[in-house]
Amino acid sequence: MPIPKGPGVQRSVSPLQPSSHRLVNVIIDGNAVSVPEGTLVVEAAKALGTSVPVYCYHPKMDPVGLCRICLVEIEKMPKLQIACSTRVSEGMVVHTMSERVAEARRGVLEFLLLNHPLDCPICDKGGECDLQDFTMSYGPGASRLNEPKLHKPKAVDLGPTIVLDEERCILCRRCTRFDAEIAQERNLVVVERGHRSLIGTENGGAYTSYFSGNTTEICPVGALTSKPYRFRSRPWDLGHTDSICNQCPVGCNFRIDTRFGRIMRTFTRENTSVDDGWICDRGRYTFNYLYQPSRLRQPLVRRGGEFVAASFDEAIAASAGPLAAAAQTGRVGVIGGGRLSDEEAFSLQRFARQVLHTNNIDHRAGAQRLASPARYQARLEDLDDASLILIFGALTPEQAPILDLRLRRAVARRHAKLLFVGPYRPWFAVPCNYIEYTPGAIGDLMNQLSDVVHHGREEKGDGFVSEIANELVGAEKIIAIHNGRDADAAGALDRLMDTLHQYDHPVGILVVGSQANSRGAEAAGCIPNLSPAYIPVDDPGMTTHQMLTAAAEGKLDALFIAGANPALTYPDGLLVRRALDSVPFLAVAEQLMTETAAVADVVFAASSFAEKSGHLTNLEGRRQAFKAAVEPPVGVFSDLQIFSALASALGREGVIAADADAAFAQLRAAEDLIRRARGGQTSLPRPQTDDVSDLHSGDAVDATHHTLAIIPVPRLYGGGGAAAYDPGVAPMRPEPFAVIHPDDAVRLGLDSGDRVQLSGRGGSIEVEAKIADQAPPGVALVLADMPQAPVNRLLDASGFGSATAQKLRAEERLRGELGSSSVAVGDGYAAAGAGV
Amino acid sequence: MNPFKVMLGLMLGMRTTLKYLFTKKSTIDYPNKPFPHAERFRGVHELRKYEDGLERCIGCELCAVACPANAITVIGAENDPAHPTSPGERYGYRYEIDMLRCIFCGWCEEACPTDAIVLTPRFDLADFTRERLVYGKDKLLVKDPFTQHLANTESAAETEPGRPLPPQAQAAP
Repeated sequence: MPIPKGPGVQRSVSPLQPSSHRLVNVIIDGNAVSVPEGTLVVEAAKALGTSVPVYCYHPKMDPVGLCRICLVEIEKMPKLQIACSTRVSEGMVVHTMSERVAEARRGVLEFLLLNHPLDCPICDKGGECDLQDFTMSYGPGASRLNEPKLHKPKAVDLGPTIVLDEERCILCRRCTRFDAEIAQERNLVVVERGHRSLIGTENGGAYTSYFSGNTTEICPVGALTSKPYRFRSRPWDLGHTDSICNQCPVGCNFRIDTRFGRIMRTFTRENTSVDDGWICDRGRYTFNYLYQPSRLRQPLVRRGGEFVAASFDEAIAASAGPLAAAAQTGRVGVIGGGRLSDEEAFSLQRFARQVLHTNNIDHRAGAQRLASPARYQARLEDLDDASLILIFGALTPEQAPILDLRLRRAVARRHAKLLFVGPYRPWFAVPCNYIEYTPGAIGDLMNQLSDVVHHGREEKGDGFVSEIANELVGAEKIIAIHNGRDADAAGALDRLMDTLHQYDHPVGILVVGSQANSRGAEAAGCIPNLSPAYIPVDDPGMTTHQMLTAAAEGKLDALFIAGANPALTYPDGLLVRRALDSVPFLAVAEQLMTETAAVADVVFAASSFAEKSGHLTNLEGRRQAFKAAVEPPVGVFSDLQIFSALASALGREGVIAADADAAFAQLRAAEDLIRRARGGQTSLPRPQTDDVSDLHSGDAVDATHHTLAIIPVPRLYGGGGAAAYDPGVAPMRPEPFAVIHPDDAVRLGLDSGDRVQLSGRGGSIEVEAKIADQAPPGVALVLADMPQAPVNRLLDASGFGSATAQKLRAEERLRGELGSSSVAVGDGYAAAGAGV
Repeated sequence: MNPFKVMLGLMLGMRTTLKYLFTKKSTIDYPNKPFPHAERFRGVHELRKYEDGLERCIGCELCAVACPANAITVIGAENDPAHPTSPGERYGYRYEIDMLRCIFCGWCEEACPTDAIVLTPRFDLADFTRERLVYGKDKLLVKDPFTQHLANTESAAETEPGRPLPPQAQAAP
C-alpha cells in the first residue's frame, strides 16, 4: 500500500533516466516532488513512495501502455492517463488515489479477471502475484460474469525450464518484450490475435534462451513458472539469504530461497552496477547438484587402490604425513583457488607459503593465464556507454551471459560497435564485425594497431589493420574484452590502450576468465610469483604447467588441489594425466567426484558456495560478500576448515583461520599493508606465465589429410564442475560436438549429426559433427571441458591442438561405446557423471 | 467441641450425597461407552476425498498459513497426469499435523479452499511417544470417501504389539 505523505513535503530525487538535467516540479497526491524533465509519472510517484499499480510497465523496459491498470487523474486533462507512459511536465498535479482512479482500476481489474482462472491455491505465483495483490487492494469484490470462462491450454511446455499457463496470462507482454529488448533474441512472441492471443515462440520450437528464468520473475501473474521450482514451496515458506552467483566471473547478485534447510530456488537481487537485475539460467538452476547422490558427503581415503570412507580426522591424518615429508624437501605443489572464495584463496596460498614453505601455488587450472588487466580496469557499467567493444578470444554469451546482456544493449540500442577478433566466427545475438585471426598472432595484431594509431593515419600493415585503427581512433570510448589466455596478446593490448589513452580516448579492459573467482585468487596471491595484492615474491615457485611437468617427471612428491579440476580443464590432457598418475601423493578438496578427485589418494568433501560465507571478486575487481544459506551435510567441511585442520596437523596451528571472518581480516590486513606501501603505483605486476608459444601447433596442420586443428569453445551449460552434475541444468546440457567447416565435411565425408572420432596426442574423443561455417577451413571447434569427451586429450599446453578426424559408422560406434565404457571403469577419467 | 454441631455438619453433607444418589449419574463407563460431546466439538482432523477417490487436498498450504500454532506442514508436488492424486496440477505430497501443537481452533478448516481438512469430534489422542502424535497422511486421510470421518476413527487403533487395544470411544454426532 502506498505510504501516505503529509502535504507540502518537498523532496529532491536522484535522476531517473533523465532526458535532460532540468528539474520540473510535480505534485502527486498533494506532495511536491522535483524530478528531471521527461521522467515517467509512475517513476515520479515511486520517488515519493507512492506506488501506482503496474502490470505491463517494467523499469528496465520501454513503456508500452498495454494493461491500463496504472490509470491516474492528471488535472487539466479530461480523461484519465496511464502513469507508465505519461511524462511529467512543470506544474503537473496528479491524483493516484481519487475516486475516479479507483473506479477505473476496478474496471480494469474486472476485465483482467474475466477469464483468469481461480486457481490461486494451485498457482506457484500465489502469494507473490501482482494480480492477486492488486485485486485485494483495488479490485472488485465479486465477479459479475455468469458465462463460463474462456479455456486455454494449461501446463504448456514452453522450453526446458519454463511452464506456461495460457489461462493465467494477462497479455502484459513483459516476457516477450524482455526477450526482444533485453535479450535481443526475439523468439518469444504473442501469437494469434484478440482473445485468442497466446504466448509462443516465433519459430514454434522450445524457448531456449539463456535468460529464460528471468521471465518467470517478471511475469506479474502465474503464467510463466519455472520447472525446477514447480510446486516445491510457496513464497511465504521461504527464508531468504543474499548471495553471489559463483558460476562465472561476472558475480551476479542473487538471493537463495530456502525451506527446511534446503535450497528451493534462486531469485534475482538487483545490483545495477553488476547484473542490472537479471541472472542467467546456469546461475539460477545450478544448485540441485548439492542434493544428488554424486555429491561428496564424507572424506575418502584410498586404501589398497580403493576409496574408503573416512572421518575428517582420518583424512587429515592421512594427508599430513605425505605433505609434511614433501614440504621438507620442497617437492610439493598446490593448485587451486579459482573456485574458492577470496578468504579461502588467501588461506590456500598462506597454507602453501607458510605451512608447506613453497611458492608452488597456482590457481590457474585451465588455459586462462591472467585474471586482471595490468591497467585500465573497466567496470561493467562502462559497457553501457562504450562506442567500440573489442573482443578477442572471449565468447561472452557463453562465458559471461549477464555481461553479454549489457553488451547486447550497448550494440542494439546505444549504437556501440562490436568487433570480434579470433580464430573462428562467433555467435552473438547482436550484429558484430569479425576478423579471423590465428590465436598466436593476436599479439602481433595489437602491436601493429598500436603502431598505426601511434603514427597517425599513415597506411601501414594490412588493409584491415588500418581500418580497425581508424575505428579505434574514431571511437569515443573503447572497451576491450579478452579471456586472459594469451599473456603476450594481453601485454600488447595494454600497450595499444596506452597509445589510445595518450590520445584522450577513455579505454577499459575486462578479462572474462573461465573460473568464477580467478580474479580473487590472483589478487589473494594464488600465483607463484605474487603474494597477496600483487606483491612480487623473491623466489617465484612453479606454475601449474611446471608443477604438472615436474610431477610427470617424478620430481614432485605431493600435490594438493583445492577447488580445481585440472584433469578436465587443463589444456594439456596428456601431461595432466601423467602428472596425476605419477605424483606419489595427491590430495583433493572437492564437492563432487570430479576427474581429478577420482585419481586422488585423499579426497576431502568440501562445502559449496551456499553452505559457507565469504567474498567473491568479480571480473571488474569488485569484492562482494555472500552468506551461508544452508548447513552443509555432516562430514562436509568448508575449504577453510580443511586448510586450517591441515595446517594444525602439520604443526602450524593458528596460521590459517578456520573462520571466514578471521580469514577475511587477515586478507584485509595484508592488503592494507601493501596498499600503503605501493602508494600511487597504478600498473599491477603481472603473474608469471609459461612460454608455451613454441608448443603451439595450430598452424602446422596438413589440410590434405584427415587432420584438423582443434580449438576448444566454451558453452554455457557445457563444462565440468557443478553444472555437469546438476539435474536442473541437465535438460539444457549439450552433447559433445565439433563444428566443422563445410569444405572439410565434404573432404572427410561427413554429414551433420555424424559421429566423429577425433584422435590426438593424448587419446581420442567421440563427438557429434555439426557442419557450419563458423569454423574456418581446417579447424574443428570442439566443445570444451565435457566430461564424456574431454577435449584436452587433443590439446597441448597452449590450449590448442590438432587431431585426425574419422567418421564412425554405426557398428564402430557401438563397439566404441562398449570399449570406452570398459576403459572408463579402469582409469576413472571417463567416469564423469558416475560419482561415488 | 459440640458433638451436635459435628453431627449436623455430617448430616448436611450426607444430605447432598443422598440427593445425588437419586439423580442421573454424570460419570460414564468410559471407554466402554461413548463420551457425549457438544455437537460442534473440534477434535482430531481428517483429510477428505472426493467421491471418485481423488484427494481433496491440493497442497496449497493455506491451512499451514492460517494455523496459529504452526502445527501444520504441507509439501506440495505435481500430479502425474496419468495417475492424478488430486484434481488439478498440484497435490499434497506430505501433510502433517503436530497434534501436540494443535490447539484445535479450526482455522485450517476455515482456510481450506477445497474443504479437504475437517475437524472431527474425535478426541482420544493419548499416546506414548511424541513422534506418533505427528499425524501424517497415513493417519489423517480418510480410507473411504463415503463414510468420511467415521472411517478415520480406527486410526488410533495402531498400537505397539503387546499393548491392549484401546476400545473405540467414539460416536458420530
